[in-house]
Amino acid sequence: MQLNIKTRQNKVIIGYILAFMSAIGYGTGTVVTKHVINIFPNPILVSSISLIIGTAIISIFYIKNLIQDLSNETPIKELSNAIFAGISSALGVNSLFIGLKFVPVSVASPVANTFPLVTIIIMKIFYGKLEKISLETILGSLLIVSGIIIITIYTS
Amino acid sequence: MFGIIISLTASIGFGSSSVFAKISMQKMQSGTTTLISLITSTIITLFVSTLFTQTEEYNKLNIEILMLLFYIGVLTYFFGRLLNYTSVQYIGVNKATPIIGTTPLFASLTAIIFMNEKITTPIMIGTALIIMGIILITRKTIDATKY
Repeated sequence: MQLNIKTRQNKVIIGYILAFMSAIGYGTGTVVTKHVINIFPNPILVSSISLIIGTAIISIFYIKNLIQDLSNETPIKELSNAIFAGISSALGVNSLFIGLKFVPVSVASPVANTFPLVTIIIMKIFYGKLEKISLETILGSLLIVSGIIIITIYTS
Repeated sequence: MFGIIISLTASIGFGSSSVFAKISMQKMQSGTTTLISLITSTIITLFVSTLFTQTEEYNKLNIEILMLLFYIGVLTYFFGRLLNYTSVQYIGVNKATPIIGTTPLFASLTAIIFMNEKITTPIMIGTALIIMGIILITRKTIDATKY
């Protein structure tokens, strides 16, 4: 039991570290993207070529996992949700770039960055049984989104 | 108004992506989910880019730009999306997404460190709020090990 708790605690800590590393990856990627868009002003083409490169790199490491997961017993529900995850991400990126054609960055970026709250709302409405949402999570997300809105408004 | 609706659509897109990934990873590994989602995103974005790109723009792509695009691919998709989905698998969508939402903070810090941008009062206030939010979310989970 003691060992089980320890393992779960390690998993939680690793999960948070990975989430921070992901944010650092996205954050530094954003800075490089801004630099590229200054010299090559076509954000959607920049996004599509970097997606091709990203997909190629991930394929090198995970193509075996893909074959393994799909050959065991084709999990239709899981497969379709992975496809929806890709569609949602593409919708996010492309909508943001198209939105920037109609409103300034100081408006589009803070609105787009409210996504953690959207996630919590979607989880609460559609998948309440999958994960519990605590008051701390809701308040913490509100603080994070407020901070992000302040930063994006004043830096864009 | 149209611009704000489109920006809200972006928020819904980013927000729902991790939810779909979470459901997908109930029977599949995070690497597989990332790869399938990337293939889908690539197809859609390539299609959209052909609508907004003129032929002569492809000729402007040179080695320097392609190298920078390589870095973006590694940072955004290898570190960004793969670790995003893996963290969702480990701690859940509700805990991981707010942390990943701190991305603009890291973008500002990178710009301050490497591009000599200035630290302003709004950045300090925003950072303080973000840190408070992170403490609020992570404190209880690490103590109680609910997952």
